[in-house]
Amino acid sequence: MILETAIKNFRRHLAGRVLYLVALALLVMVSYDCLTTFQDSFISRISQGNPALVALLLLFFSLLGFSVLIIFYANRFFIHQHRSEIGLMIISGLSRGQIALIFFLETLFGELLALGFGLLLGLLTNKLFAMLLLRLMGLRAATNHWFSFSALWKTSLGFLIVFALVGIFDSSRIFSLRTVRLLYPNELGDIRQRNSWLNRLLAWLGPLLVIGGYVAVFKLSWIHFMETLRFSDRTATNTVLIMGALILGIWFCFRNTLPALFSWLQGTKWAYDQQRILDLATTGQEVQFHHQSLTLTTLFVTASVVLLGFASVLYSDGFRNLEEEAPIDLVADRQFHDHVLQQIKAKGGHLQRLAHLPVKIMPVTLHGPKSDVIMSQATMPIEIVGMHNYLQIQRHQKNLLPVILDRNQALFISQDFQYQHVHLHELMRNQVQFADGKLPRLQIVAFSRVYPLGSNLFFGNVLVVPDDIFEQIPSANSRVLVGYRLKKIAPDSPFLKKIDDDSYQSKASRQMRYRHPQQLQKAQITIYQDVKRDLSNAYISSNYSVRGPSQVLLQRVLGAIVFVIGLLAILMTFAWASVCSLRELSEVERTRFDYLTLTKIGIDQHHLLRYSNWKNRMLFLSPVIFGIGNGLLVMRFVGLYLNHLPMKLLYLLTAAVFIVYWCFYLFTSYNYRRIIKMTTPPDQQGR
Amino acid sequence: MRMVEVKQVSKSFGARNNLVRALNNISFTIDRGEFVGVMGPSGAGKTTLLNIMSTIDRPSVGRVYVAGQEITALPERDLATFRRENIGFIFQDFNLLPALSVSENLVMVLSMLKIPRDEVQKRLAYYSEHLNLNKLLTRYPNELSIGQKQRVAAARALMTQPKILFADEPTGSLDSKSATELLQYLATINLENETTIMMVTHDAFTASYCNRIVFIKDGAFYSEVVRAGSRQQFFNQIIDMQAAIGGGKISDFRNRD
Ligand SMILES: Nc1ncnc2c1ncn2[C@@H]1O[C@H](COP(=O)(O)OP(=O)(O)OP(=O)(O)O)[C@@H](O)[C@H]1O
Ligand SMILES: [Mg+2]
Repeated sequence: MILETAIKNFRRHLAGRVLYLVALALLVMVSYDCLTTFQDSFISRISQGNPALVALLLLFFSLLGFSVLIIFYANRFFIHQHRSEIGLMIISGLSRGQIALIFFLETLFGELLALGFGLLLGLLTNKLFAMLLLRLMGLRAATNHWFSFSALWKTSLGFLIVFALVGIFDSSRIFSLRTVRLLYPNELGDIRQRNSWLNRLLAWLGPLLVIGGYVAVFKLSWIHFMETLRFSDRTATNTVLIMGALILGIWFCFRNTLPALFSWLQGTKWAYDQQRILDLATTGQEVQFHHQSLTLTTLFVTASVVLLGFASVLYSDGFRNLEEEAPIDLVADRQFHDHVLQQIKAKGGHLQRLAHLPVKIMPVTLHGPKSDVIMSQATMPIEIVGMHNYLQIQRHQKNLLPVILDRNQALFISQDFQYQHVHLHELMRNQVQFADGKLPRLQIVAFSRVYPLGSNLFFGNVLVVPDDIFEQIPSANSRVLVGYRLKKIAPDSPFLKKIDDDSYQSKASRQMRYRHPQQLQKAQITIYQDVKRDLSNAYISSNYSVRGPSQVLLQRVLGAIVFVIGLLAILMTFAWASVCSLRELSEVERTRFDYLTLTKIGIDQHHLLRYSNWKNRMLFLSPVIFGIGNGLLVMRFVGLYLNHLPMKLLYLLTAAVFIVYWCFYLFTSYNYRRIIKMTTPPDQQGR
Repeated sequence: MRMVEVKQVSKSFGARNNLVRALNNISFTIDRGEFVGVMGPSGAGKTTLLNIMSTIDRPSVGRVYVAGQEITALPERDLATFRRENIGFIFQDFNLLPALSVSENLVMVLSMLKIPRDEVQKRLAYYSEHLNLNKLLTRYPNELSIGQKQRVAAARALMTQPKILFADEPTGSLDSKSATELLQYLATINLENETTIMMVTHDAFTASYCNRIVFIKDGAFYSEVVRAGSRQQFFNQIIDMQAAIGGGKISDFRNRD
C-alpha cells in the first residue's frame, strides 16, 4: 500500500512536475556526455597536453552538486505541497518512517525516470556533444564513442548518491515536522517577526548593501582577481567584499525589505485606489516565505548572465585574436633561419618559402587628438614595414587589411589601441613624425589589429608606409623575417612545440631598450640579443615563431572553456526555472481554499485567475529581472574594462535566459489555473 | 470507565511580550461511550483543546490521559501506534488523500497495519453500507460533494475502530440535510459500537445530538449541560447556556425552531 500510494501520488503530480523532470534529465544527459567525451580515446589523447579538458570533469561534478541543490529545493516544495496530506497521515497513525518512505518513493520514481531518460538522451546526444566541443576547440575529427559502460554506471552511481543524499535530508525534515503546523498552518509567527527592530534595520540594510555593491563594482579594483585567481591579492578581498555585499543585500531585500514595503503599502490609503498596487502589496507574505528561493533565483540568474557574458567574451574576443594570428606556419629571421630550418628538415618536414618582410625601427611622435594616450608617453618606438612587402604577405595571409597607401599616408597596426578608450576616428586624425627630421610627416589613414606574419614577432605597434619612405629610413637594428609553409609535420606535434618553446627563450628573443622618450630628437633605441642586463623598460619579441602549438593549445583551451561555461549557464537557467515553477505550484494547495472562499463571496473566477496570474508573474519574474539587471551591470563593467565586449551577443543570450523563465512562468500559471479549477467543488463547476 | 482525563492543562502561544493563553488550567473527564460536545465563543480554545487531546499538539503545562495512557508523556515514536489503535479524527476541511480513491483512502491505514485481508474487506463493507458509500468507492475525492466527503471522512476515521473519535466542526461546511445525516450516523455508531465521541461545534442544533456539552470560555472550563430529556429540551438548554456565556447566535434558534 505504501508503494501504491507513492505511485498514485507520483501520477497525480506528474503533470506539474514534468518540466522539472525534463530539467533533471538534461542534467543527467550532460553529465553522461561529459564523462563519455572525457573518456573518448581520441579526446583523452589530446587532453594529455591540454588541461582544459579537465573542465569537463569539473562540469560533471558541478552538475552533480547543482542537482543536489535543485532536487533539495524541489523536494522542499513537494513537502510543502503535501503538508496537509502528511498531517492527515500522521493523525491516521502512520509512523514518520512510513510517511518518509512514501515521500521518498514518490520522488524517487520521478528521479529514476529522469535518470533513465537522461541516460538515453545522453546516448543519443553524445555525438552531437563531442562534435560541438571539438568544433569549438578547432578540431576536425569524428568521434564515435557514444556508448561507454563505465560512464553509464558512473553517472548512474553519482546521481543515485545524490538522490539518496537528498532523501536523507527529506526524511529528517519529515521527522522534524510538527503535526499542528501541518494541519493548521498559521502566518502569525511571521507577522510578529516583522515588527522587530532588527527586521527594520535589515530592511534598510538590504537595498543599501545592493547599492553599495554596485558602487563598489565600479570603484574598487577587483577584475584583476578574475584573471589571476590569486587569493593573496587585495583585489581578492575586494571581490569577496563585493560578492558578499551583493548576496547579503539581495537576501535582505527579499527577506525584509520587500515584505516590509508591501505591508506598509497595504496600510496606505492610495494603494486602495490602485488595484494593481494592492495586489502587489498582498504578495508580501509570500515573498517573505520564499525569500530563500527568490534570493537564489536572483543569484542564479546573475550567475547565468555573467557566465554567458564571459563565454561570449571568450568566444568572440578569444577567437578573434586567434583569427588575427598569421596562417603562415613558420617565420624565422635571418639570425635563426638556417638553424631552425635544419632542425625541421631533419625531422622530415617540408618547407615552402612564401615571402620575406624587412622590418625597421624608429622612435616617433604622434600629433593629433589623444596622441598622448595612444603613445602613453611623449614618444614611442615603432616598427616599420614597407607597403610592397606588406601586400606580398597579404597574398598568403588573407586576414591582413588590404590597403593601398598614397604619398605621406600610413597604416597603423596595434593590438593595444583597442584597449585605450580612444575612438578610431580620433586615431585617424593623427600624424606621425619620425625622429629622423628629414622624413615627412605621415597621415594615419587606416587601422588594423592584424600583424603581418603574426603579432608575437613584433615589439609593439607597427606602421606600414609607402615604399619610397621605407627606403629612406635608416636600417639600424633592422631585420628580415621570412615566412614558410610547413608540410608533413602535425601542427600540434611535440617537436614543433619544442621549437615554439625555444623561440621564447632569451637566446632567441630580441629585447629592446628605449631611452629618453621625452624628446624625439634624443630618444634612442638599442636592441640586445642574448644579453642579460637591467631591461626594466624593455620590450621582448620572438625572433622566429611556429604557428601551431600555442595557437592550437589556446584555441582548445578557449573552446573547452566556452563550451563548459555556456552549457553550465544554460542548464542552470533551465533547471532553476523548473524549480521556481514547482515553488509556485506548491502554493496552490494552500491558496486554493482562499480562492474557493473568494468565489463563494461572489468574486468571479475570471477576476481571481487574473489575480493569480499576476501574482505568479510577480513572484516568478521579479527575481529574474533583478538578476538580469545585476548580471548586465557587472558585465557592463567588465565590458568597459575590455572595451569591446560583444554586448549584442550578451543581450541576445540574456534575452534567451529571460525567455526560458518566461516559458516556465507560462507553464506554471497554466498548471496553477488547472489545479484551482479542479479544486472547485463539483456543484460549482459550470457543467 | 474513564476514556479521557484532562488534568490542569494550559497552553500558551507566542513569545513573552505577546503571549496568548489559549487554555488556562482546564480539567475534565470523559467516560467510555459518551458523546461529548465542546462549545464556547470563538477563540475560547476549543480547537486547541481538541488538538491537545488528540495528540496533534502538546500542552505547555498539564497532563492528558487517553484510553489509560498518558499521551503527553509518549514520545513521537509511540504516538503513531497509539493513534492507530485508539483514535480517529474528522476535520472540517481536509480529510482525504486526494491521490487515492475512496476505497483506497478507507483501507490505507489498515493495510499498513498488516490486518488480514478479509477483515479489512469486512470492515470496508460494513462502513460503506452503514454510511451509504457503496456507489462512491471507486471515485476520487475531487469527484465528491462536500457532504459525501465528510461521510467518507467519518468512515475513514472509523475503519480502525478507534476507541475515541475526535471531530472539529465536522458539519461546518455542510448543508443542514447532509449535516443531519452525518450526525445521525455518528449517534448510531456511538450507540452501537460504544465509540466515545468528542465533537467541537458552534452550532446548537449539531450539539443537540450529543449527550453532554462542555462549555469553555477564555481557555477555562465554564459549565456543562447534560442531556436529560428530549432533544428539543436539550437544544433549548444549550441555547440558554450560549446566551449566558455570550457569543452564541440567536439566529440558531429562529432557524431551527
Ligand atoms: N498557533 C497559534 N499561535 C498563536 N495563537 C494561537 C495559535 N492558535 C490559536 N491561538 C490563539 O489561541 C486562542 C484559542 O484558539 P482556538 O483556535 O483554540 O479557538 P477556538 O475556540 O477553536 O475558536 P473558533 O471557534 O473560532 O474556532 C485564540 O485566541 C487564538 O488566537
Ligand atoms: Mg476552532
